[in-house]
Amino acid sequence: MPEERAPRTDLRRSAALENQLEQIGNRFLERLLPECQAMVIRLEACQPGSAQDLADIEMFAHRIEGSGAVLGFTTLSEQARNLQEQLQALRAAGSLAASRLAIAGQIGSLQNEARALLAKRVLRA
Amino acid sequence: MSHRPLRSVLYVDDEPDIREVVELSLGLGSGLKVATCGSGEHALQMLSTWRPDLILLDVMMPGLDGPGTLARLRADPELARIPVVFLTAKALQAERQRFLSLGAVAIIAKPFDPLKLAGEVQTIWQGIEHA
Repeated sequence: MPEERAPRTDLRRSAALENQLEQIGNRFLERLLPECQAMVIRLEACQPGSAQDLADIEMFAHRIEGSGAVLGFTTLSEQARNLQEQLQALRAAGSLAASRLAIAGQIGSLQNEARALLAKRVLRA
Repeated sequence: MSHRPLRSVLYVDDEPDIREVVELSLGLGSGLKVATCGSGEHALQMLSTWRPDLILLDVMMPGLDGPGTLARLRADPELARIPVVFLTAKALQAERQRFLSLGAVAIIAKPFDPLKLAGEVQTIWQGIEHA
């Protein structure tokens, strides 16, 4: 029946879309692990008060917040937003000195969350 | 109000993952021709040879941001009539009126639902008065 064709097509499209989104999500998480590591190294190497380093790490957090939310990784996105807010405050204060460990810890939390999400997906697959 | 079908969209965002999601959502979900690029500057280059029906612009981008890109489009008689929709994080929704006053036809809040984006874009398109 022609009336049934459209919904079936919609369902197939929707299933195909969800499948592709899952793959994009996997790639995002896999990429995030070394990116977090690179950010921690960058953080350790940067001079206290280096506005450019803080801005770059903030941009990284902004990207994870946005992409994470669109891809359905709510906790990861919230963690990235918290990191972003902390970095904004530090940039406004003009100093990193006292907070380097706390920021490294937050990046580590992002990495742990990404690892946990990936593990869940592997188990599901 | 005419209802010329929406056939092509240009999506501009510096986030490659979100570009890929939008391309899929609109292409697979709606059968549109979707092109994407990562900056306002690149969008203007692409628009010198191609005219999409609709442009979706991220607001926060390094370099030429969304509002800056829109201003450049509106200043060009060849491109000024292409409708522009902004995609912006919920935190910036308070600026909605400002974005609309710049000439955007609508605002889509980020994060959007990839499974519903195509419908949202079609609804916006149907609400636009086409010449």
